[in-house]
Parts: sequence; structure tokens; C-alpha cells
Amino acid sequence: MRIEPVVRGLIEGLLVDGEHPVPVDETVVAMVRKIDGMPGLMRFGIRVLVVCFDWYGLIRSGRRFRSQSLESKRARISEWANAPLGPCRDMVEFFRKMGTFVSMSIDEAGHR
Amino acid sequence: MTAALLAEAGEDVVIVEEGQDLSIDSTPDHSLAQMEEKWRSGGLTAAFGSPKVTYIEGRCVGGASESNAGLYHPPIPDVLERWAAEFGIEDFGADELAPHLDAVVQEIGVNGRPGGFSPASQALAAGADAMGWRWAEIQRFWRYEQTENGEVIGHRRSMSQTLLPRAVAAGARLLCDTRIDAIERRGNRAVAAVGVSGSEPIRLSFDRVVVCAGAIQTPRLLRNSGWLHVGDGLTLNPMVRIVAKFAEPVNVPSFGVPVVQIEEFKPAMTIGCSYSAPPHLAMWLEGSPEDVRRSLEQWERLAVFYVKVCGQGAGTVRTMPIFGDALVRYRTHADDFAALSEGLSRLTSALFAAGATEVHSPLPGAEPLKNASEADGLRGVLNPRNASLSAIHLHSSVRMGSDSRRCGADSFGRLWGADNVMVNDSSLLPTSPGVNPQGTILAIARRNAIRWLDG
Repeated sequence: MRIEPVVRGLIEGLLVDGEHPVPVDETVVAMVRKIDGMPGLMRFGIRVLVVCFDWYGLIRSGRRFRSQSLESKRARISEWANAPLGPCRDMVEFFRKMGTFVSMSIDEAGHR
Repeated sequence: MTAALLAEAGEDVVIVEEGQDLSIDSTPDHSLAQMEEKWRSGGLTAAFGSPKVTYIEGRCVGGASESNAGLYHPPIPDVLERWAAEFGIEDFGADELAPHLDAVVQEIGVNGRPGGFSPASQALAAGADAMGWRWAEIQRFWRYEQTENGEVIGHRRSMSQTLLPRAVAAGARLLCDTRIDAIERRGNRAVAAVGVSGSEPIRLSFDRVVVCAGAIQTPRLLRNSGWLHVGDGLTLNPMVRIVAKFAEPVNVPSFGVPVVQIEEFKPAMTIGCSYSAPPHLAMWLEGSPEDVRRSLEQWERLAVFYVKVCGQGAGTVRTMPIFGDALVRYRTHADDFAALSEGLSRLTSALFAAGATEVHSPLPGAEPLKNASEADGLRGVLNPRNASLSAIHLHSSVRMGSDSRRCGADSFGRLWGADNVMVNDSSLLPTSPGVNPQGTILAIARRNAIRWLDG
């Protein structure tokens, strides 16, 4: 299953603030590449979580996460960021921290 | 180190490296591109546990020395003596290791940056002074030159720049892009290494083999080869980071890695400053995207600081069924959460004493601290649920020592249960050394290699 649309939604929900330009396309490509480069178990785990997160949106509000509005995406992300289950929190934390690092690195490389 | 000494002694040496042979400046230091090119799995590796601990491993010719900070801290004599006593390591101690440390410093080059250290380092030093704590400038495996206009240019003294050329000049052959999956054995004798070179299967026969693949990959390879007594006892130094804001600019990335550390609490605890370019800062700032971007508008006034402790926990290295990767598990000790929290409190006090106007708490969703009185509130604050831990120094997965029931290798790195297999990397360190370990690892490697050559 392709995870790019869910990764895109996570990057938009976590990093886009409406004031500062974020290189969303490049960040999504780099994040998917990073996930594909992970050790096997981690790669498998994060892919499963991303897919579960997508379908969680359907259960929670009738549409898969990838198809929700930015506001709804942020709400779903916030729910997982504060979930009682560690892996859910870890997934959001991973996309927040690594996504921020990747997007700013792309920004910086562009200015270099 | 091992390859250079063996080749110079006339041995027929083949160096096998899983990663690529890359130029030292193929990517900018501390960049995303460097992570992806020179670190295993792009730097995304983690020890499973509660919480998980992220760590990094080099994967290129020269290993981690091609991209790490290269900080040189001599080992603490008491720690060496404790290792010798507790693990029965023969001919080992501060006096025995001293000539090897001297040789490492001479042969590779350890220097301080001319022209002083970065403003962030100065801030940490000022904070330590205000608290009455000892601090020190940590030298690096770097060489510096100063241009006529005063610009300081640094050159990393990594393995690809120092010992590997020596080994090759002495006749060693370098085989990169080659992954060894297992060592074939006949009884206790290793006979060949098998794996993949590029996309082709490879089998290298040998008289003896030295495994120097680091604290994760060394035990993984040995266990894949049937030596199942290694891979326990993994130690690491859990680390937490915080971002502090100052009234004046403190962040000058051209200074490179900040070099001041607070010495007062070593070896149990090290407090220091991290490389703090905006992408790195952003990772450690809490808050909404708007908050983070707003904070970064004044990035020159922000810097990342860290607390790391000698972990009391222990971990294991195994091979993951199906996937084949290393499965690393680590149980962080309850005392480590307390020690890291105490360290955060101390660091925060020092930063406010040095003029910080704001310290960003590492806790998810927490508001920045505004004054020193809030530092006390950080005591005991970390727990498995909220701590975001990382580690850059891993050891002890093939401990050296005379007791084969507790140690993977003997006092000189010869693998117990094998006639012709040696280990010579960070895996041998019996516990965390409590200081940046590169110098200690190199000195022990030199000691062991010379011992093998002496028979």
C-alpha cells in the first residue's frame, strides 16, 4: 500500500503553518525515502502505523486521514500525539521531529 | 588502527567495509545528505525498550569517524582500574594504556580550535563558573589552520584521512560495498567470511579475522556465525537535549561542534552543547509549527544543550528473524531517568546563570521555562512515557576480560570459543567509559593489535 498520501497529510498537518513556506513535496519524498531505508522491523512497524492511522481517520470521522481537511488532520494528529499507546505517540513524534529536520534541511540546502 | 598495524608488520590484510568509499567532504557536515550517505539506515536506528533509545552507526569507509564530533577525552584512570579489577583484564590500567594513548594523539592528531570557542560554549562555561563547577575545552581529532584574514579552517582527522591510508600504503587492500553476513567455521576455527559484494556473492578465506564492526554489528555478525555468547551487556549513554534562548547571539554554526563540557559530574554525567544549526534546533523545539517557526526567526540566539549519563541499564543485540537486521533491545534503568532529570535541572540553572532568557523544556507540550527558580521543577520529571532519549556511544556487547562466563573476548580481544577470531572495537569496553570514547577505543585497539603481533 502506498503511504505517500498519508505521509503528505502528516507533513501538512504537522509543519504547515500558513505563514512560512514549507517544501512539502520534497519533504514527503525524503521522508518516504528515509522510511524505506530503515531497518526491516522499524520500516515494517512505521508502515503499519501509517496505514492504521489512515484508517483511524475513517473510523473517527468517516473519511480516511489522507482525504480530510487540514483542520481535521491536525485533530487526528493531536489525538495520536496524546494517545495512551506509546507507538501512536512515537509515530507522531517521529514525523514531527524528522519532518521538521528534513524540511528545514531542504530549505537550507536550497539557500546554500 | 588494527589494519594499519597488521599491514605494517607485513601481514596480508584485506579490509572489508559494508558502506561506500566516500570523499571526506562529499556532503556538508551535520547535513541531511551526510546522514543518508554515511550513517546506517540514514541515521534512523533505535534500541527497543521503554522508552526506545535512538542511536547512530557509521556505515562508510572510516565508519563513524567520518561524520562524528571527533571529541578526544582521555579515559578516566579510576574507570580503567575498575574495569581491570571487575573483569579481570590482564596488563590493563592507566599506566599500561598511557603509551597507546600518546601514540593515538601523535599519530592521528588532537587539537583545540585556535581563536577561542563558540559563543554557545562560552555561555556554558560562564554558567558552570557561576555555579562553581569545573568545565573544560575538549580537544578534537581535527587539524586547524588559520588564514591570513583570521578565518579558521578545520580538517577532520578521520580514519579515511589517517590510519586507512597508512594501512593501504603498507599493502592492505580495501574492499568496500561488501557486506559480510557470516563467518564460516570448522569447530572453533574460522575459515572464511561470506556475504555480498555489490550484488555478487563473495567468500573470503583467511588465516585469522579481526571483527571491528562496532557495538551492534560485531555481535550480530558473530552470533550469525554461531558464537552465541556475545551480544549481552550492551551499554550506552542515554542523552536528553534542551534548547536555550539568550539575549545575545550565541549560535555560530561555522564554529562547528561546540567543545565545552562540564567536568564536575563526570564520569556519571556529562553536560555539553550540541551543534545547533536551524534544522537541528527545530528538532528539539516543542510547540505548534507556528511556535517553532517563530522561535527560529531568532535562531542566532538559540542553542541546543545536552545531558548524558553513564547508563545503568543493559541491552542485548540479536539478529531479527525474517528481516535479518540487528535487533537491539535496551532497558533504561530507573536511576537513569532520575539522573537525567537532575542533569536537566543543573543544566537549566547554569544556563539561566549564564544569561539565558528562556529554556525550552524537553517535555511534550510544556511551556518554556522563564527563570532559574523553575529549574528545580525538572527534578524527577523524566519517565519512560515522556523521555525522548538518544545515544551516540554504544559499548560492551563483546566485553573483554579473563572470565569467559561474563566476557565475550579475553583480555586482549581474542574471542572466547574461537581459535583465530579477534574483536577490536567499542564492543570490548566493559562498561561506558563516562567520557567521549574514541581515544579510549583507539588506544585499546592499538594495545591489542600489538599484543597479537607479539604472539
